Amino acid sequence: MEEEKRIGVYVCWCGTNIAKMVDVVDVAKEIGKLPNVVIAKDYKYMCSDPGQELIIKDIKEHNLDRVVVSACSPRIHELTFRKALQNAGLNPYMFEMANIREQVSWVHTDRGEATRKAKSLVAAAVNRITWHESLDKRTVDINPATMIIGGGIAGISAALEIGNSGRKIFLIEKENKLGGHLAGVDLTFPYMYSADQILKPLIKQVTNNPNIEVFLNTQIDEVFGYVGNFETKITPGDGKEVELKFGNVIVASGLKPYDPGGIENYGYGKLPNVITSLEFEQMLKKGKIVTKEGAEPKNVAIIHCVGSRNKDYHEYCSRICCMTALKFSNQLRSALPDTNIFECYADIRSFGKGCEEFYAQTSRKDIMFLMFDQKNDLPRIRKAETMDECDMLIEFNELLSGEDIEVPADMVVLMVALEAQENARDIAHAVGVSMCGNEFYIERHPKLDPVATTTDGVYVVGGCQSPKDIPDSISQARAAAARILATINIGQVEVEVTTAVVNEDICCGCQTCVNVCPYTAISFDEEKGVSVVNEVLCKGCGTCGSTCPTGAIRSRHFTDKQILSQIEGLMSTSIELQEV
Amino acid sequence: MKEMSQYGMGTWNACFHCGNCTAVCSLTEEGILFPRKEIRALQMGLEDKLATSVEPWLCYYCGDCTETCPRDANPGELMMSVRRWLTAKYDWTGLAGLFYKSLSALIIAFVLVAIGIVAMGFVKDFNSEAVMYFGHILEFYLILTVFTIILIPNILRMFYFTVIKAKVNAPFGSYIAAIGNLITHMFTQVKTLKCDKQTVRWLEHFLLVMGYLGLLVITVFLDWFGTENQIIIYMGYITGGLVFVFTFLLMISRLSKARELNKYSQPTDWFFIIWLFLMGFTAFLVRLFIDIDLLNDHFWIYMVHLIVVSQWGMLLVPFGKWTHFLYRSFAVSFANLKKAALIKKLATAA
Amino acid sequence: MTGIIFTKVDNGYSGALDYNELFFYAKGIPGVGPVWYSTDVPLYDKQAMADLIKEQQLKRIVVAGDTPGMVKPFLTGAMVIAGNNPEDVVLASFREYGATDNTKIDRAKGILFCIALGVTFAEAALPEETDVQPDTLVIGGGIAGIQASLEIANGNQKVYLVERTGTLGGHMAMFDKTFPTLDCAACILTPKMVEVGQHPNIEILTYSEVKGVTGEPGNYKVKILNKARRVDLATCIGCGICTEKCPAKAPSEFDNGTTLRKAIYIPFPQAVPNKYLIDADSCTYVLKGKCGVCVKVCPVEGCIDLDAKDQEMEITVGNIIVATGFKPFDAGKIERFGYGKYPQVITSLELERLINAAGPTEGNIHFRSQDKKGNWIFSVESGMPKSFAIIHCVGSRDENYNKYCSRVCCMYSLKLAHLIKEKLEDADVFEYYIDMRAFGKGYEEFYERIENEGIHIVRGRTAKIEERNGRLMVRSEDILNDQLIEQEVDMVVLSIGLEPREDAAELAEMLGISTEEEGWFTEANYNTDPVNTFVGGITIAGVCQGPKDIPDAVAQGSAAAARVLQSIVKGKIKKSIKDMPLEKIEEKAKQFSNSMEGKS
Repeated sequence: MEEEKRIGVYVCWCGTNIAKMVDVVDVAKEIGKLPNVVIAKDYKYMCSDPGQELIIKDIKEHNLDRVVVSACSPRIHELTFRKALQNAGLNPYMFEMANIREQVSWVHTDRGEATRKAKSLVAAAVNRITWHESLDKRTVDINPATMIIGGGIAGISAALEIGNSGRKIFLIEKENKLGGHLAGVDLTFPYMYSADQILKPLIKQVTNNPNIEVFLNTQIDEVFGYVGNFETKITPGDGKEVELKFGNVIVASGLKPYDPGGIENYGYGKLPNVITSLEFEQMLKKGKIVTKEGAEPKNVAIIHCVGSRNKDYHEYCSRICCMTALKFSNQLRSALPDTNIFECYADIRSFGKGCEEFYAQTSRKDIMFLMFDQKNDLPRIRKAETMDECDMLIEFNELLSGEDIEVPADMVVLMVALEAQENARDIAHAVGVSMCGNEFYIERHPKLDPVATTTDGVYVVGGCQSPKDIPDSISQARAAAARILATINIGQVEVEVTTAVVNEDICCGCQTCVNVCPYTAISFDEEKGVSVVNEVLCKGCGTCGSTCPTGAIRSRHFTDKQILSQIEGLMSTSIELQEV
Repeated sequence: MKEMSQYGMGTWNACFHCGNCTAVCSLTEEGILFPRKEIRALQMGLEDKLATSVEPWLCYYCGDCTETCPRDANPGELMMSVRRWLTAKYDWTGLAGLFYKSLSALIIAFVLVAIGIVAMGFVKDFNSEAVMYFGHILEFYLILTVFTIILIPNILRMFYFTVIKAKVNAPFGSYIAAIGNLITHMFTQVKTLKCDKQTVRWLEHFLLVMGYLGLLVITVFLDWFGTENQIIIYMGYITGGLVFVFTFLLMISRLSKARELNKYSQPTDWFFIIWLFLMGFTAFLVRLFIDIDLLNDHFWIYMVHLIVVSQWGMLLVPFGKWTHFLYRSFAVSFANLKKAALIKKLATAA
Repeated sequence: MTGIIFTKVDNGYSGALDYNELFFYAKGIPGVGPVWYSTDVPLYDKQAMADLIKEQQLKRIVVAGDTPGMVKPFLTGAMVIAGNNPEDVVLASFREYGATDNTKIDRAKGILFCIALGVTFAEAALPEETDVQPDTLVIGGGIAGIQASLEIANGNQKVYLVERTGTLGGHMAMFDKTFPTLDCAACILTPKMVEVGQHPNIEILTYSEVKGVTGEPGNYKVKILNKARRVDLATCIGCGICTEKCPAKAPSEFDNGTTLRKAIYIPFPQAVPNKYLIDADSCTYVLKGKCGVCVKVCPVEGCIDLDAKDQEMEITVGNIIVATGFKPFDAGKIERFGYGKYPQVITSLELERLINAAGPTEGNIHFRSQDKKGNWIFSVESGMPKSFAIIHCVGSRDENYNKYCSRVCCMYSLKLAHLIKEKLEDADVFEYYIDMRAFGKGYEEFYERIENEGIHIVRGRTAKIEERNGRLMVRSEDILNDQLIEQEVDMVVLSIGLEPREDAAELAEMLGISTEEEGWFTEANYNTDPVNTFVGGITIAGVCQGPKDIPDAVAQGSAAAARVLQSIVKGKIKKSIKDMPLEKIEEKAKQFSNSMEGKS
């Protein structure tokens, strides 16, 4: 620690973004006076190529060994500057960023105060970087095989996308056949293609592809390992245990239909001619639309949002039911040309390509659209009297006319919501992905990284992360395939270096860290009686370090010393500067 | 819905209830909302609601709603069709409905009237004076009968449907005010002016109505064909000319279908306009023939005129589009009652 | 025996498939018995249809047409009555494989032939494989193009990313916050842009356009026009002195015309590349032949060359990803809304810039006003509106403009309402919608949240906007409350829809891919192949295929990359379905059909 530290500090104007609210010249001047700071400069755009050149030149000329840039958020440009350091021959971790844009110039209105705060932040960064250490990048080899959980349309698509490139796939399906929910569908919206004609050739391609190994009647219990090197043991239908090794995992476990028995208003389970959308699809497939009494229904009502968009059931929208319901109306109009069709809906969400057009077309087919209050006043279905000349009556306040109405029905089709699979939690635990309140899997970033998860090498696609139609599920499946194909092509993957390390001399073997680690990265070495960190699994979140009672666990790049001196820097300078 | 398609054409079930038509209409106001609510009533088969509504009569079919409808559902045509349907509904004889729905029934009725007139001429030996005298008397009594037997009872039925059955509870004073604006609207239809870009159309319509009423008074009450009074003769020419010139213009616009509102025309609309034209034109010719002493040699022209007038008076006035003239004017008054009732209701509620 | 029924749609389109020709072709397919038009069979009487099936001893029915599925339920029912298997009603949908006009009649025949023989068209028409060049071209530097480029480049493969404007980022860069999580668009996008900018495998060609494509799948020669930027990318240090001194001004494209920029400018502070460029249409030197102030003040000699000319280059690639995005609907087309007539009627994109801290009004909402030279801009000097109306479906879901739903407007409108409230707590905000389409993950919850923030959400499309008492009167029917609303507000925001770019048709022709009626690019199969086209090696991603929100566009960007990576990993790529001759498809279909019979 006695060796001399040579720090360079660079204060960015970000055009006028920072310079307008912060006196950047003054910040550079003041910071230049701090110990160990060899050079302090301000520049219009540090992130620009000339800005980076400036740093590289200074590192060489002034023999700098540490660099602080005070500019925007490190999320935006930390990587940029680390690369610049690397180009100049420095270790990329000998860098620290102070955010004086988002945290200062954009949120302050007083230039003096903003400048003072900027100085504190930069001083804190300078204090912190004094204790930075060099860290080395690490890579692991990638096993080119991929395990896919779920043999629905998303799983099948992902399997074919990777399998067709000649790489190994293990496709795991819990049922006794591939195809998922699509196998139970007659026609797809909005162009009325045959689901069978879509699905069967794909299943054939999967079974004929020598690279794809299908395991039916199989569940996943636990997956061990980390990105590039996972393994699991499965027991397929035949009872023989198989051990699989693979580099990546795609979870495409899909959804299950909501059981409408819980909604008292609809009488599902009590009124025999109240059926779910899935049961109705079966009728369509079999070519026989009849009531329980065996007659063709004269009045069919389709009720939307069953179990969706209502706080008592699921708050979310199930995304595909509106279009499926419109499709049902078309199918009914074809199968039973004289039947009265009632669509009881809340909002028609026909948002996909060709879907609004489909809605417009459907509404011209003598179908009565009735709107009800989905959030506060669900329709009530009751058995009709003999004089009503129908089997049931649906009672509600129709919003578009304001009338209280009774809709006659001989058959009621409930457009049931889609919800997470029963074993969603088990799979999440097995592969290490997190779930939101609705038990859907959480993607790494809802917008810009919609299929990766916070666990490297594990992807979530299709319905298991929220309801989706066929094309959207397939796009996601292929998106995951792209990521995996890219890593396979390189053969190696970089892993986090800012991980935790255990000082075995101090560790008391209490195992607190083992329990708190969210990434199951810490195990207990019984022999030595100490905790061991798997550095590939560790994300460097620091949870273990803060719970360790003896201070045996240290997070690289976030050591106590680094953090404390940063805080010290923040406090001391701010006081000092205020006195001035 | 199926019944309504016999009164006009439109893809009304394509409507997805965005409310654009109601909001784009310059004549809608708080409490008087159309045409979306009429479309809804129709889609849901709420016949009573439609029958008791006065709103269809307030629409002057400027075509804005149809032009801007995002679903091409043609709400303007719906209002027109509902008016035809209502005309049939108000008519206690049931003939109006029959004529709207069946073109052949209408043609048969026209032929029968023509045969009757020809037969009468035959009885009178085609003596010009006797026939013209009879014709004059016929016109006089026709107006009287049509009003007392058909139109007045129908107006009362309209009142029953739209005010009593609709349970409009308006204060007494508003009834008196309603009669006042009845007169203004009957002759001027100034409400059309509220519609955007409608000034020219209103003027056309206004001049036509004035011409028609003038011609009526001059032929029936001032005995145009018999008089020697030069002023009356010239007035007759002017009014007759107004009628056939403007009907001619209307026909041309209907044929070119330039305006949105003229896109779909029902047969009865054509009869209405052609007969109005013929009436003006033949009257004009008859008087012209009298003035240049040609009538005796060409007495057929009067026969044609009389046939046209009789068909007009017996069929088109009581059962056709002519009634719109009355119903519309009364509707404005009834709507005012409705508004007064709404205000009263709000006042009591407050 | 197999019977074929044609469902013909007469849409009056002159280039439509010649059904008569298909009809006679169908009669010659082996194993096919009777061939009918749908009008020749009793399509409304199931019993009569069943009798006909029995009489003709049909075991299988092929329904052929554009969307033959529409009559399938009826025929399935008739088949069951006739005692047959419901699964033996099969569809030959011409649209499913893109045979939408008569130039593709051979493909339509191929589809008929395959389905009649019980073979999948995609299987019989599977193109041969050929070698693939390792480099890839991505057209369009918006979020979909960025994502696709990164996926491929991270797989260690070279990518050329061509962008028409001077910077990457596309429309997403213009947005303030993104729904439903409300994270700032720039904060999540710019790191990606920087990553692209610094990626050793990505060559960015901004201010460039694709001018011609020749060659075949796996080996395309692409001609690219590099428009004269007039500022040297390599030497520009981004100091900004040139912009400061430049005398010429023009409406800023990035700020959607809400403010002015100079003729030499940088699109926005975080642009990639972060270098200046000169707009020839507003530069005094280019227009009048004299000025050159920027050259004089530029500290780097030779960096600005006002006489620079456009240049062309040619590259060779194996795959092309099209991610050209959209253009916003021109709100001026709807006269009743008065955009262009009333200054305080603004578009949603303009509001995005106003709300953005880096926008023309530093994130505050001000009235539109005229500057000294008469330009209508937004400046902090004018007052602030207190009430707003946000109008949904402007140009969307409307037979008079675009029939389709633009998919993103409901959600971004809710987001804008929230952001207005965030800036101006006491503002009254009214939203006028038709159907609230909150369908994605967390969207419905977001809608619920906005409803509880005191925003007035009205079901009823706004019909017209007029000036009244110096304010704007918005006329709508409040359908759910049975009222007519004439709401006076200070500012109206039009939630404009998305449209295909004007040059989409031109690009489609260059690449040989098809477009939908309205101009979006057509995917190879609506259900199973959302990013491929009928041309080998050409994939489509993002909004250019149809309106999409950010996560869906990103997923498609990655999905397109998957197909590229697959071909590179394998070293082979499939040729185009569209080039498969009919005889070959027929031959293959017969082979498959024979082998199936052999098995059973």
